[in-house]
Amino acid sequence: MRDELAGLGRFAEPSLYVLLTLSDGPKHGYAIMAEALHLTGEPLGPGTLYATLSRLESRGLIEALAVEDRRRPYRLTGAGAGVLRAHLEGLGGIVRAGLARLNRAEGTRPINS
Amino acid sequence: MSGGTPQRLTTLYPRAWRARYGEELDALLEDTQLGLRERIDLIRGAIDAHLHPFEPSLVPVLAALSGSALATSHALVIAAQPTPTDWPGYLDDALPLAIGAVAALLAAIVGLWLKLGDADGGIGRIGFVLAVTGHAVWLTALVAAAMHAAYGPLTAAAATVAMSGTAILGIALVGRSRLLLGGLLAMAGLAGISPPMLGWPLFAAAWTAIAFRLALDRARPAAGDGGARRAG
Repeated sequence: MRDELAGLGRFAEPSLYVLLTLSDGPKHGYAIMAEALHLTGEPLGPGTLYATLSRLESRGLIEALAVEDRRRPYRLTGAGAGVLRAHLEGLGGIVRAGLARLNRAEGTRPINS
Repeated sequence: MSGGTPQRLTTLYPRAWRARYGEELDALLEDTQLGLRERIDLIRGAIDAHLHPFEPSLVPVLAALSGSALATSHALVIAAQPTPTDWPGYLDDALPLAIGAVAALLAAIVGLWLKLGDADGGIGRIGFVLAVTGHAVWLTALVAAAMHAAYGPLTAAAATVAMSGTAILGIALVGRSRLLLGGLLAMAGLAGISPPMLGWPLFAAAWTAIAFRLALDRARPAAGDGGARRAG
């Protein structure tokens, strides 16, 4: 399932951010931008945000809800939650393996005085 | 931030895109402090929306069908030739069909690539560049031949590059789980560099199937093959 995001090319990373921000409930564009900045420290521009929303919606990973005061909330679909979960678990495996290697290397590294 | 400038930037987006996302994007921009970075991002978004049309275009469907029909006609004319293809009458009889076929297939490949969005990958992009360059040079060489300016090895070399690029793009798509569309493109590319008696029917069949596949995607945007689908 990780390929679903990898197949989005340069929109893979913004897609991950959008899916992450929607993982705890529906949000509209401004809230997604604000939370993506809070979560990742990376600003998500409005053009990139809507190019990403369009791609995720067309792939059935998110769905649009009814407009509220000109702002349309989006929510994660079941497929989107599955893709996000698979991607995060993949990243978790990389993190665990990387930390284990670092810890092993640090345990065998001679201490320089 | 309100004012005219952000709204003017959203007018850069295609009409169909604005009909779906325009109002909510305008509302977002009213809440957002727009610096140079955000304005450039909006312009990039507008270019992206034009390059990856929200409404799938009919052009690749018609181009693929026309290319297939013209290539088939060209093959039939060659088969009916009384002498080898370097006799003078060959140019008058067959070249206009070949020119039409190559021009249509060039349009089909570009349209198909735009439809694919970001899903072609690095190898697919190399295949796309080879296919487009090959078809463009092939077309130029054929037009030159029709004008009796030049006709020679360049045509064959360009055709080989065009077919190889088409096959590479197809194989790359198969590798990215676009089995049907990728398989058909790979078949078209490989058939184009196969012996004519076997190759031309397969080539025409592959492009006809690609046209029907694209038409099906237009009619039923949520169809499978993992392809980009129309939102909204």
